[in-house]
Amino acid sequence: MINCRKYRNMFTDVLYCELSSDQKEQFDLHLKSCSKCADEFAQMNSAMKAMNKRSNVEPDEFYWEGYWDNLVDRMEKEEKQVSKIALWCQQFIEMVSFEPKLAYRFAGAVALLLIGIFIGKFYFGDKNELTFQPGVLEQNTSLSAHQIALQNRIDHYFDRSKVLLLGLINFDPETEDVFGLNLPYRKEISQNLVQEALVLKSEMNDPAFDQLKQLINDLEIILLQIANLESELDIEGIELVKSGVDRKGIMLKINLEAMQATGENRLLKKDEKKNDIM
Amino acid sequence: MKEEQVLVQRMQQGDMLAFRELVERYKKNIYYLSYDLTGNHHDAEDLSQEVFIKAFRSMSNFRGDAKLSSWLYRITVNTAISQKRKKSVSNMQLQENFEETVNKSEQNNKEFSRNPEKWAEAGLIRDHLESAIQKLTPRERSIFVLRHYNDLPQKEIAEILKINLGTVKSMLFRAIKKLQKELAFYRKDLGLEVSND
Repeated sequence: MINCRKYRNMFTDVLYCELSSDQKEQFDLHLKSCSKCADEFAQMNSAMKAMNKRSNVEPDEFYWEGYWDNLVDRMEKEEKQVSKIALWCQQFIEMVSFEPKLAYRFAGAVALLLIGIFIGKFYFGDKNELTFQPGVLEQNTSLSAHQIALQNRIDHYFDRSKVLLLGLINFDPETEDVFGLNLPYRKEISQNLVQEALVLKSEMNDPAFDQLKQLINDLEIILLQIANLESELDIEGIELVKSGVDRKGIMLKINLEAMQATGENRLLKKDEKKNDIM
Repeated sequence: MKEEQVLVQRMQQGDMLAFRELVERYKKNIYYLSYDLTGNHHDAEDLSQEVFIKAFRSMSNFRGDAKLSSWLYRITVNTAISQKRKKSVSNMQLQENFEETVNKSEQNNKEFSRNPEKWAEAGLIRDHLESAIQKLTPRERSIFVLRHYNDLPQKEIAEILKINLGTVKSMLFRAIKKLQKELAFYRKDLGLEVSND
């Protein structure tokens, strides 16, 4: 099997005659002894022969004769466009510098627009940003600064993981270029997240965090899979990651967690539960 | 190589005649590569012109550590990939394709009147092969056409695309596998001898 893999890696070299004669001899010997490789190679070779039937388009001589002129025409057109824009800018600057009144009018219009946006945001924007909610502040002060900070870090951790996973689970190898995924970068981020998970878990001693700890554990396995992807072309590895995310319902759990976190404070809920029991 | 260096130097000094020399020397190679990457004359013409314009504007950046042809191939592949990304299936593209089809069919009519049977068979095969190539991802297509139709060794492709040789080999392998799968569908039309499951 390992031997077969070695010779399969040589297929493209053989198809395009890029092997030395010694290597080619070894390759031929292997094919004689392995019908599976021989069959696969024959099929690829056959497909290659079929691709040779693709006739080359041959524009007529007239096209080639006019090629330079067409190119120069296009370059001139593009340059004209660029110079037109430059000319407009220049004319505008000149106009403004000759007529200061116009410059004042223009500046006035911009200022009015900005004031309008500010007023609009103040009166019709998100009220939560501006209104003071004493209750929330009072409640939050009952939590230690460390717990609040930890909760924020957990939320941030899930956000980063979500962004990382979304890119992978939406990737379709049939239609997209695997290089667009930038796997080396994703692997690096996964490694960072795995390390961060270890730190977070060591600080999540409160039983209120048990459920989240489990989610972080599940996520950790997926992140390790990403961090260990073999190469930029490890499509099978990506598929494995996708099925793992799907099987464990990771995205759904992260989304539920985000909804909970935005709704109410997790630790506050725990306090409420305690009060109910008491 | 020395002659090429002189040409580059002249271009870097703004010599238009040198630029024309470059265009005349490489126009066919770049056009054919563009055609292989885009699959139609209209886009190939547009892409090849874009390549020469980019080369003209960025000639000062050319350090001469690669062959001029490799540098032009790199610009072609990168431009084709970025154009493909930018291009969504818009009405404009559909219109272009429609015009292309009309032009093609006019040309085809002439050929058809000469030898109808041969024309029909050739047309069918061409369409199958073209559609198979267009199903590859832009990166796979680039590697495949550079190796198969432009006869560049895998090592040179790796240098042109600035990726390692192993990646070129595995992408080429994957491209051929995909083509094999696509062509299996048209096995009868293409006269492939070996069966494909």
